[in-house]
Amino acid sequence: MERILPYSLRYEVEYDKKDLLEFSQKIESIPGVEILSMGKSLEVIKDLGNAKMVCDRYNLDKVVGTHAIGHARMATESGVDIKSAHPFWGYPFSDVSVVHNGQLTNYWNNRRALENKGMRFMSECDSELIAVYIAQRMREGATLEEGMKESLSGLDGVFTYFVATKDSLGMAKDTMAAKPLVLYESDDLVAMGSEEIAIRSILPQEIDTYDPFDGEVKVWQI
Amino acid sequence: MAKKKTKSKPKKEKKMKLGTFKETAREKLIGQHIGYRYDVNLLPDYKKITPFLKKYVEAMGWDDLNWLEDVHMGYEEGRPAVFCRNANGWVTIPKSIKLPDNQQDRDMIARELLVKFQMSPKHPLVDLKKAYLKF
Amino acid sequence: MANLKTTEKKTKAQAMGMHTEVLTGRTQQKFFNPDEAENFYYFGTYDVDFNKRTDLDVKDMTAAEANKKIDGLMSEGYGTIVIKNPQGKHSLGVGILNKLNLIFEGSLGYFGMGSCDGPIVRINGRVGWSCAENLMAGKVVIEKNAGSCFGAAIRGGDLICKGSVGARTGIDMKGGTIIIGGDAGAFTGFMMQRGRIIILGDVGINLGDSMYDGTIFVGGEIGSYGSDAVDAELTKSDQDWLKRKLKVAEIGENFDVSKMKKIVAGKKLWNYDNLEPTEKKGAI
Repeated sequence: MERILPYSLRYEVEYDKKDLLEFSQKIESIPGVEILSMGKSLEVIKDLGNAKMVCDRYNLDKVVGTHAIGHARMATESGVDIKSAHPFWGYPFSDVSVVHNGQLTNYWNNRRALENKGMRFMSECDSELIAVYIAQRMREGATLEEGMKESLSGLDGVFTYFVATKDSLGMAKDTMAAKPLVLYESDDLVAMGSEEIAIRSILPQEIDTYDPFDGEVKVWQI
Repeated sequence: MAKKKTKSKPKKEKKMKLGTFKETAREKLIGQHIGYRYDVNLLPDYKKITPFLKKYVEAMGWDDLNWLEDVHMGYEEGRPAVFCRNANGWVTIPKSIKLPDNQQDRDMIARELLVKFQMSPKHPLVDLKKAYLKF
Repeated sequence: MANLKTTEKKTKAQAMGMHTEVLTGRTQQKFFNPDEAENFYYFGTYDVDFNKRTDLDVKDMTAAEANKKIDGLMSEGYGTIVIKNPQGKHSLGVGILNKLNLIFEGSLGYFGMGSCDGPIVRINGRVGWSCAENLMAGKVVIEKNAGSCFGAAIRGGDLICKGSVGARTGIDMKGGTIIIGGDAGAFTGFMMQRGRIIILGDVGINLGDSMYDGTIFVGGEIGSYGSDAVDAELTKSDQDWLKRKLKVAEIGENFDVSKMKKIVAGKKLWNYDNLEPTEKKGAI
């Protein structure tokens, strides 16, 4: 066990249960305990503060890995707190996380329907719906890409979102293309963000970037 | 009954008057009369460009009429005029300028006059800039 | 208070039975002599020389600092300025109301070249959202791709993107020409009121949705037409203009303009039938 901050802990446990739902429910039966994420290779870090502060707090610049997604939130739909911060974990699937830019207008309808199917929501942030929506589709047997494609019609509103799983990275843009996304793709690197300036901070040289079109879904296998 | 008839007649006449505009190709296409006295979609005929406009385009470093492509001669209070977007008002064409009877030539005159007006020290923007220009 | 609805103010339009508006507020009347203004000088602008050239590295500058520096260089008479390392910064090159030859050696972020009036700009990279928003006059050439809302609300000038553009290109445009060498996204020409858009490649869904007026020329496939966008016949003068414009834009040299589709407003949503030019001045 590692205590990172007074309010957050990182546990390493071994478990042989296949169904994570039961396992996570058992942990959360302890009063005051909430799981932010659970997985074999993906870790979700949520906190308050700007990117630099959160990076320093958790030593994120020391982390070595194949892919990462990040999000600095300007709260519009729900409160400013840790549980409403991105990325959202696709409970109860291991290694599924989502960041989102936009607003979802059929949040409550979808949330009720998904809750009736036994899915769980941790916050009241509309972005969480995407993670839960995709997790539910995957639970029914769909692949990540299928789940994301379905979300274009299943989710109403404006959105651009990224999904990271253990071995894949995906992006989806709504049919009105109302939210920005700049994408750079090469044989060994994919970089994307709302603004090109973010990509330029790691790739200062002249590169070819583009805006994906409306209703586009892309998934990269790592 | 007789009163009604006399009232409705002049109205009909007015409608007839409106309908007697010479229908342009674009009006035929969209099946409706364009209320403007000129077609905003009319493309400029570069053969009609005036020497002054040629010099202006050269001085600005452009390859063609650029923003002036959207400038046409219209009418303000029954007088031929061109709209100046910088002053938000109409520049009426002096009576001394004889106007040709085709829109392309008239448009070129309108463009020339508009550019001259905008570069004139009498342009309203000059006073505004003197009073309010910050940087 | 003066009664502005005096009968003497009756215009020709009123006499013809058309609706007219009564303007309130102050009006000015200015007189000028057309012959005394042949100096090609706009008041308040800098007299720059296109042959005087300089470089400016903006790597460690904020957008405001860079824009101020450009202004300073123009005041010194530099007519050709090469901007190095823009690195995707937002709002670079905004508010240039001068004739100028500006070259960006790299990409711009959001709102690049916004509210400009006159300059010739070449961007050897990509531009983000709302490039050249509210362009009044001048020419902006983008060598690579462009983001959404390309040329939002432009009123004049030529805006050229040699690559592909995102969604809502030419939204609310009130004049000028937008030329796209590649493909365009959804809602291209959304609510356009005037001006022309040329797309050599394919275009997404809802092309020309709710357009009031203006013309769109498409070379490739159309995803779908928006509300009130209708096909029109490509005339000889359209083709001549297209050829000339593509030559100016330095793209589509061998493009067969005779096969292009022309899309105009069906004017079912709005028509100018009962309106006088005076009332439409807001749209000009």
